[in-house]
This record gives sequence, C-alpha cells and structure tokens, in this order.
Amino acid sequence: MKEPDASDIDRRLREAFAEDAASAARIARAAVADGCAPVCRGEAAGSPRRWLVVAAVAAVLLLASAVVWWPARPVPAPVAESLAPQTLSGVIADGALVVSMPDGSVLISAGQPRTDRLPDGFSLVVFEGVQR
Amino acid sequence: MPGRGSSTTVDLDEAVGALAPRLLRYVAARLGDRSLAEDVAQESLTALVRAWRSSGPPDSPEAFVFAVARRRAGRLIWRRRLWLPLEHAARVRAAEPTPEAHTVGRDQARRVRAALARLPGRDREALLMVALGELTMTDAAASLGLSVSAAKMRVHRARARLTALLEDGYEGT
Repeated sequence: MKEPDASDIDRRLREAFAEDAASAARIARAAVADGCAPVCRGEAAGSPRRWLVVAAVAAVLLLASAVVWWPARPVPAPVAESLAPQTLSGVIADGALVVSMPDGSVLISAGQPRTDRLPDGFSLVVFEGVQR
Repeated sequence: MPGRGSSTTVDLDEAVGALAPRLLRYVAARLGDRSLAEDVAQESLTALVRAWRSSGPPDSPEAFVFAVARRRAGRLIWRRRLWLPLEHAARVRAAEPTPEAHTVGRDQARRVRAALARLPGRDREALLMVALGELTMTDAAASLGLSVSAAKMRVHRARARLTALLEDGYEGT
C-alpha cells in the first residue's frame, strides 16, 4: 500500500466537507446562551432539576435503610402457650370417656387410640378417678 | 467559582467560537446530515459550556467536546439504523438532502465521500477527528479512549486506505 500524503488527504477531506461558518457561529452563540442558563439565571440553587436529584437521593437512602433495617429488625420470640395444670373431671359411660374441658368443650374419647393422625387440642390429659 | 470570572468567560466564548466550525464539520461528516449535525454540535458545545462554568475549563476542551459529540453522533447513527427500515416501509422519510446531494456537481468531493464511506468505522472516525476536527493526536486519542500510538495507527491506516481507494478511482455505488 502506498504511503499516504497526510496533508493531501486531509486537504481533500476538508474540501469534500465544506465549512459552514454561519451555522458554526450560530451554534456557538446558542451553546453559550444555553450553557449559561443554570448559572447565569440564578436557577442553580433551587432549580427543579436539583430538587429532583435531592428527592431521588433521599428515596434511595430511604430504600437502602429499609433494606438494611428489615432483616435486622428485632423479632419477638414466639411465646409458647402454656396452661397451668388443672384438675379435670369426667365420666366414663358405655366405654367412652367424657371430660369437660376448661374452654367449655367436651372431650369424648372412646375405642382404640387413633393412629391415623396426631391428636389435636390438649396434648395431655391426666385424670384419675373411679370407674362407675 | 473558577468559571465565573470575566477573563474565563472571554476564554470560553473564544474556545466555543473556535471549536464550533471544526466540530460541526466533523459531526456532519459522521452523520451525513447537516441539520442533525448542527443539533449534535450545539448540544456538545452546550455540555462544554456547562462543565466549564461549573468546574472550570477541562484539561482539553477539544478532547472533551469531541468525546461528547462522538458519543451523541454514535447514538444517533444507531437510532437511525433502527428507524430507517420503518421509515422506508411507511414512506415517511423526511426529504432531507443526502450527503451526495450536497456535492452534486462536485465530482471530486463526491468521490472522497464515497471512498470515505468504504473505510472501517473506527478508522474513519479517527481520521475525521484529525482531518476535519483538527485535533492533535493526543486530543484525538483522548476523545477516542485510545493510546496516542493506537490513534496514530488508526489515522495512518485510514489515510493509506483512503489514498488507495482514491487512486483506484473508486466511484462508489
């Protein structure tokens, strides 16, 4: 490849893309006027754009603090519900145990113990008495 | 504030006035569209003015403003590539003069433009910055995000290819 003549190539390029001095001057004037706007018109201190930035920063900070705080927030430990031991009384009738429970319900238990699921309600009932 | 002194203002006005023609010519060559080029050049110069007034003059106003213009022109080129097929389909393409229309009757200029369009984009961009933007190799390298030696290599390669294309009598298609 032939060594290029830099000045010749550059000159030909400049000729191909002619300078538009009038447009350039107009652009320069407009750029200086536009670029002046935020400072020269005294809008910098309270410009809407600045408030927008402040609001955006505040929102980001709030979100970040929420993200940090939420996993670390104190979670109350689950309190195991316990009932004081109580004396229950019941009767056995026709092979079924009938007990009046403290919450007002009546427990009727009969037959073989259930094995298909765990019992619900009170987990342990201790009673004593005499079968009549 | 470094940018509010009267001498700085005068310097800024002078810098913008001197940069505008070079920038406009560079952007027009990249975009091939005079009105779009004016928009990009003005926006880029406005960015320079704002930066200058808020933080003082950049190390190299030339590198600063050409880097801004290069990015904006690149975005416009991609946007145009995206929309152009749709415009053709809808037959709503604006009746703007094409780069060729600007050079009707100027055969030599047309040939240069056609040959320039055949260069790889990166090489063409570097050459336009130096030849039309009249940037030093250091400023061109800064605008392109390259080392000076890499920028020199691109410009040299672009000139060599352009010379070869023009000597082969490339007329374009």
